[in-house]
This record gives sequence, structure tokens and C-alpha cells, in this order.
Amino acid sequence: MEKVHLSEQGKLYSFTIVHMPSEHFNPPYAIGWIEIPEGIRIFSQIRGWQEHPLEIGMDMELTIEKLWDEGEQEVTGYTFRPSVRR
Amino acid sequence: MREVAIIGVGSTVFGKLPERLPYELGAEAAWAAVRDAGITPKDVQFAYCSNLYGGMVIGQAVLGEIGIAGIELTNIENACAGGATALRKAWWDIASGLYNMGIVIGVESMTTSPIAGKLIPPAKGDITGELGMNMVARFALLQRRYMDIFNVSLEHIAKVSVKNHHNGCLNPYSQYKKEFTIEEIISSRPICEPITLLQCCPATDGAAAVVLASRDLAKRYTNKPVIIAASVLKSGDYAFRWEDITFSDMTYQCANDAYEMAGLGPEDVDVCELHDAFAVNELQHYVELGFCERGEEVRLIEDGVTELGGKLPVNTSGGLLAKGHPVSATGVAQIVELVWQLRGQAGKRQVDHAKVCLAHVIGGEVAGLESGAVAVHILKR
Repeated sequence: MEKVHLSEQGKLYSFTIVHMPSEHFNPPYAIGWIEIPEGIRIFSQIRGWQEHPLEIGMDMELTIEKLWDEGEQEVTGYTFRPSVRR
Repeated sequence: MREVAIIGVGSTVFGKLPERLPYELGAEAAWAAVRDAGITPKDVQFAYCSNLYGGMVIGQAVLGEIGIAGIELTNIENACAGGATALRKAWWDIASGLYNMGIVIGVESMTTSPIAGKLIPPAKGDITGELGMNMVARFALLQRRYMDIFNVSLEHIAKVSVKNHHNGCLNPYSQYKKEFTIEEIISSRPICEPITLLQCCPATDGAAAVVLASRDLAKRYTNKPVIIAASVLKSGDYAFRWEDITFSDMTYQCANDAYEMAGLGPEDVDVCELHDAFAVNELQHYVELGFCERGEEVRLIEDGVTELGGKLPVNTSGGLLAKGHPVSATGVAQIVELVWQLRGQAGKRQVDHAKVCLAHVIGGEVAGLESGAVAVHILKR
């Protein structure tokens, strides 16, 4: 086993807006697969979808954000957001 | 290897039946199959019972109700493919010469299960489930990409649900007997976009059973035996080897193996029952099962090829979408429908001159794999 550093940018492979409750997220929320240049698809929560309507093939970037609360603690992890050209 | 025949089939009506315990449903279907076969309980040498939520040793409770006890009896779980898995095992027990006659039961009561009223939850420790994945979302992701990359419209997909609900209206065993329009399906409540409620199979209670015998023994009971020409079961491959989520590699490989085993091809299939848990699945399975080239699947639904009266009717029972999806019973119920088709007993759904039928189920979510299990059976008369 070897650790490798993967890209933090990728393209949106597919997405869905979920209208049903889940263990940690209230609807509606967005999830999707992001394909990174190494050819790997990553399943992720997607944030920022209300401001930037999602489209297959759009540029996405990894962000580290709060995912949910567990008791007193915040669970932090990766999410992806649409890349915004500045 | 010996040829194996189906000599008896039985089913409960499918629906929401919370007042009936799982073993009662199973016993009703099993007794119907025993009666249909014209055998007595003591003729049954072995049994497989498929179930997910009914508790331990349910097969013993089912068969104990109808006077079958003291035999080799195995309970099986393989998610949506459980019923087909039970059939596959029973087929081999006779094909190998171990036994001459056995019974297969698939039974599920979703309304009395621990997850009644809820979605099938992700397995503990499944990180994608924790991150918000569920069974509908998984296929919504597939459908979004399928629609965008292959230019398939929501109307095309909804038409599958229109067709299968129409077939359900003709099936006395169906959970739903109600016609819907394309517009009603598209405008029903969004679940995981672009999948709406009426593109999803319902939660269902029900049971189905079949009696199998060696071909030689079958002659004693019927002059219309249905032969199992192929029986194939596979687990899912690693998802990192899965190139395109809009094409199920495991279905494709399973079907190919089944055609080879039967010495038949997709062009020989007269009727098919396939796993339409979501409407979009049916279009994709047309391609994977070899009924058309990729890109032609929309034509099959648009031109009516797969509706009753078409060249290759699919899901004449109403499919999972309308007949319903009692998880572990589905794979057996598909066989019951196809046996009725091959015997000319399918009533208003009867396909003329059906000689070869194919059944396909797939199911079970496992993080890191395409899916849990897939099975294809080919029946002929």
C-alpha cells in the first residue's frame, strides 16, 4: 500500500438533488461523483449548488467543510463545490 | 447434468398486506405451487426459501404450514436477487442428480419489516451512505448522466412506467392496477432528481413459489413442463473497474453466460421479465441483455416493441414498477409469470406462441462494488 496525493480539482461526472431525508442531511441536498484527472470518481456531498446550477462536465474543486454534528462535535470532511472563475 | 423442469407455480396477490405475517404469505404461495404441480407434500425432497426481513428460519415456518417438514431446507438472502439465487441452487440440486424434486419460495413482507415506511438503509460502515447516498440517489446519478450523455428525455423514461402500469392493470396479482400518463409520471413528487415517485417501484408484501423436478420425473405430472435452459448468478465486480455507470457490466456478462449455457441468443427471447426497480433501468437492461444495440433502446419503447402486442414484450406482469417488489420474492415471481406465459395461462397478458423467456434481477448495495448480485434465468418449453 502506498499513499498518493490526488488532485483537488475535477469534473462533475453526475449529480442529483435529493428530496428525501438521510441520516445526516436535511433535504434538499446535492450529491454527485466527481472525476479527477487520475481517472478516479469520488462520491461527495456537493455544496454551492443553489448559487451555481450543476451541470455534468463542469469544473469542481474540493473544499474541507463541516459535514454534520455528532453530539458536541463537528464532523469535518471533504465536499466539492463548482469552481468559480475569478 | 440432467435437465430440470418447473412443474408447478404459485403466487400471492402482491400489495400492502400488513395484517398477514410473512410465513403465511409464503405458505399460501407454496401451497398454490404444490397444488399446481399436482404433487403431495411428501413428494418434496428439499427446499430453498429466500427472505430478507422475516427473521430466522422462515422457510421452516412457511413449509411447516403445509405439511412439508423433515427435509433439507436452506434459507437464502441475496438482496433483490435472493429469489433467483434460491432457484439457481435448487436447479443445481436436481441437475446434479442429488434430488429429483424440490420447492423454491421467495417471501417478503415490507410492511411488517423493521424498515417499514423507510428506505432500505445503507449498511453500517458504508461511507457513501453516511455522505447521503441511498438506493434512489444511486440510480438518479445514473439517470442524470444517461439522459445528458445519450440524449434520452424524461418522456422516454416515463414511457416505461406507463407501459408497465398498463400491464399491471391486466394482472390480477399486481399491487397497482392503475393507468398513468407520461405527464402524471413526470409531474409526480421528485424523490432524487430526475427520478420522481412514479418512476420508482413501491414497497410490497408478497410471496411466490415454484416446484422443480428432473425432466424425467416431470413427465409423470405434466405434459407441459417448462425447462430451465440457463441459470447464472454473479456477484458485482469492483467499481473502479466499472467504466460507465450507465451500462451494467454484471448484467451484460451474466446474460452472455446465460445465452451460452442455453445455446440461445437474445433474438430467441419471446418474453422478458427484467429488474425495473426504476423506470430508467429497463431501457439500459434492453442493451445489456442484448435486445438492441446501444442507442436503439429508446426506439424499443417508442415503437412499442416491448409492449404487449410488440415483438418482445417486457415485464408483462407489470414489473417491479406496478406488480410491486417484495424484495426476496421478486426473482421467483418473475419465473411464475414466465411459466404462465409459456403454458398459455397468462390471461389478458398472454403473448402468443411464447417459447423462450428470460428473467433478470439485480440488487444489493455494497460500497466499492457495482452491485451485490445479478441473476439471469432462461426458460423454454
